Amino acid sequence: MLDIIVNPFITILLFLYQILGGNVVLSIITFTAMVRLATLPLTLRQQRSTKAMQELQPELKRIQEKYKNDRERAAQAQWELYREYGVNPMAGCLTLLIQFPILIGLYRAIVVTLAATPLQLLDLSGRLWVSDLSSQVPLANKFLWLNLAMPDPLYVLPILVVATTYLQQKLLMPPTQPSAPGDKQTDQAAAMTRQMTTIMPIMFGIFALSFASGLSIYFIASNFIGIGQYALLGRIDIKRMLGRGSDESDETETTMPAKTARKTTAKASAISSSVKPAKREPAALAAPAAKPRHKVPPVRDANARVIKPKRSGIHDSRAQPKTKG
Amino acid sequence: MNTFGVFSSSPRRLIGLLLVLVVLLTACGGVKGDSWAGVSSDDEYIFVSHNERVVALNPASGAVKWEYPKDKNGKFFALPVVDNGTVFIGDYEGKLHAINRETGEARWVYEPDQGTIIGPISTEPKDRVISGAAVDAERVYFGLGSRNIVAVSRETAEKVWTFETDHGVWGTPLLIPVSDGQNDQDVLYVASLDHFFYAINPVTGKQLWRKSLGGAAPGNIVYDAKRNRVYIGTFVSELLALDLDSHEIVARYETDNWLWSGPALEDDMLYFGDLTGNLYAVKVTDDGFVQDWKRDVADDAIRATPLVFDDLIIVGSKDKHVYAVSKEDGSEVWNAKTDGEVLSEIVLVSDELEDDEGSYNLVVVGTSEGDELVLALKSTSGSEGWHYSD
Repeated sequence: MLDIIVNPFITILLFLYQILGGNVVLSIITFTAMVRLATLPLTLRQQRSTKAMQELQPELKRIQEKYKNDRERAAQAQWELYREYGVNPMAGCLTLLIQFPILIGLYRAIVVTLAATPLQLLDLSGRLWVSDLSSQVPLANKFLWLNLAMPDPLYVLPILVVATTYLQQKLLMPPTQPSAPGDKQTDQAAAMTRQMTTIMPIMFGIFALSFASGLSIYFIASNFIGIGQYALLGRIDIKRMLGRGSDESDETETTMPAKTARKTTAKASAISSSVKPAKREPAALAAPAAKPRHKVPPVRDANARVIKPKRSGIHDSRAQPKTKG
Repeated sequence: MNTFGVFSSSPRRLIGLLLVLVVLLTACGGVKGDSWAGVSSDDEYIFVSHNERVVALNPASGAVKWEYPKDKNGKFFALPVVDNGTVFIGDYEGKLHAINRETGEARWVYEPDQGTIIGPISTEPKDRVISGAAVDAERVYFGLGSRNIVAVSRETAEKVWTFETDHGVWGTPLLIPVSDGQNDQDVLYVASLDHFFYAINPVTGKQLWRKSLGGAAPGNIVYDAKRNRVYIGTFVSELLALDLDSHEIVARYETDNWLWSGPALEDDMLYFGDLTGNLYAVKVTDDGFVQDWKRDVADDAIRATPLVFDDLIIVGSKDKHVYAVSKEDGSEVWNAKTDGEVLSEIVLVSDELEDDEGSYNLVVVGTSEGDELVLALKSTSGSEGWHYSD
C-alpha cells in the first residue's frame, strides 16, 4: 500500500540525484526539505491542535471532576467544550496519520535507492516511474569517510542524530500545564513529556547505529529543517529549552509576532481591569486556581488566544473586549 | 518532525506511536533477510549458503554432509565456489572463508582490516561479500558489496591487493587467459554496480582497461570463447556483447526490463530472463544479436541465469515458481509451485537417477522459504525429488 508513496518518492529522489550532479547527500537533504515544506501546513495544524488541547486540559479536568460519577454527562460536557472552542480532539491524530506514511515513504525510498543488499536492489526494479532514471541506479554510496549504505564507523552521525533529535524535541515539545497539588494526571503527562525528550533521541540514535548512514543524513537533515522551520515561524521556546520554564507570558511572546504581542498586552491591561473572565473561559486562560508561578499574574487576552469559539452566534467577550463609553 | 507533541497529553497514544514507529522502521530496514541462498555444485555435493551457515548436501538425497560454521554465527549469502578441494565463500562482515570440501572445517579465514581506532570505532565500516570468488593457483579474488575488489593469497590468507571501484561488485569475477602471441597471462574481468566493466592484472591489481556499460551490472559475466567476447546484463535493460580484443561494445539487445544476471550460452544462442518475467532466446551472429523468441514466462522477476538442459530452459522466478520451457519456442513444458521466491542460481545434478517413471536428473533451486530452502525437482516433470529445510 505504501508503494503509492514510495514509488514517486524514489523517482523524485533519483531525479534530484541526476540534476544535482550525482551528489547523494545533497539529494537527500533537498528531498527532505521539499517533503518538510510540503507537509508544513499539516505540521502547523497539528501543533495548533496540540496546543489547543493542552489549553483546554484544566477545563476538561474540571468537567471530569464535576461529573466523575456520570460518564455520559462528562462526555457530553467535553464535547460541548470542544464545539464551543472549535477544537477537534482528533485533528492532531488525523494530521499525524497523514504525515506518518510520508515519513515512512521517504525513509523507504532512501533505503531502497541506496540498495545495500541484493533484495533491496531487486525491490527497486519496477518502482521507477521514469525508465530513463534506471541509469542512475544505484545511488553512489561514498561521501567523505562514509559509506552511505553502511553505518558510520566513526559514530559521528549517530551522535549528531541524538543531539539534533534531542534539540528538536526540547524546542518543539509543547509545555505541560503546571499541575495543581495532587493532580496526578498532569504530573504523569509532564513526566511522559520529559521521558519522550530522552527516549526519542536514544531510539533514533540506535537506528543510526545499525542502519545505513544515508538514513542518518536524512534524520539529521529532517531535524535541522524542522528546527529551522519553527525558528522562522517564531515558534521556538528558547527559555523552556534552557530549563527556565515557560510561563504564560513567555509563551505569548514566543508564539506570536512581536507586533501582535504588543497590541495584545495593551488590550489585555484594559480587559483585566474592566472585564471579568468569561464564564466558559478555559481555566488555563483565566486566573490560575493554584498558586501562580509567575511574578506577574498572566494576563490572558483575546488576541493572544489561540482558541476562539467558532460556533456561529457565540460572542467571545475576550476576543472583542468592551471599552468604556 | 514534531510528530509527537500531539500526544503529550495522552501517554498511551504516545507509546503506541513509538511502537508503531519502531516496528515500521525495523521492518523497512531488513526485508525478509538480505538476500537469497547461494547455490552451487560440483560433481559430489551441492553447496548452499544461507544466512548463518554454509551446508554441503548429498545431491541425490539432500542429506547434510557438513555444516559450517559449527556455532552458526556467520552471515552468508554469497555463491560458494569450489576449487581443488576447497570451498571459498565470503560473508556479510567482509571475511573470506576457505573451507575443506570434505570435512567442512575452516582452512583459513581472511579478515579485513577495519582500521580500528578504539573499541568499536574504526575508519572503515564492515563491508559485505555478495559476489562469488574467482580462484587461481595463487590468489582468490572477490568483490565487496559497497565497493572494491580484493585479492587474497590462497596460501597465507593475506591481502595481496585492493582494486578500487566506485560501487559494489556483486557478480563473480571472471579469470580468462589472454595470449599476446608469446605468453599466456590471465586477466581478471569484473562488472560493477558503478556502471563499468574492468580488466585487471590479477598479479598486480592494476587496471588494464575499462569500459562504461551505461548502467549497473550486478550479475555474472558470461564468456564466449569462440568470439572472445563477454555478455553482460545491465540495469538499463540491455544485454551487451563486449569484445575483449577491441574493448568495444559490439552488440546490444534491448529488453523490457532490467537484466540482473548474464545469459546462458549454448550453440550461439543466449537465453536470459528480465525482472518482469520475460524470457528471451537471442542468436549471436557476427553482425549482432538476432531475437529467436521471447516469452512472458513468469509473473515476476527472473533473476538468475537460466539452466539449459536437454531441450529445456529452466528458470526460477520471484513469483514462487520454477518453469521449464522448450528451447525451440519457449512454450511451457512444466512448472512447479514453490513455497518461496526462486531467486538463487539453478544447478543440475549430473548423475542420472531412476524411479518408476523412468530416468531423470535433478534440478536444484534455492527458495526464500526456510522450510523449503533448497528444492530438488525432477527434470522430466518438475515433481519434487527432495527438499532441505533451514
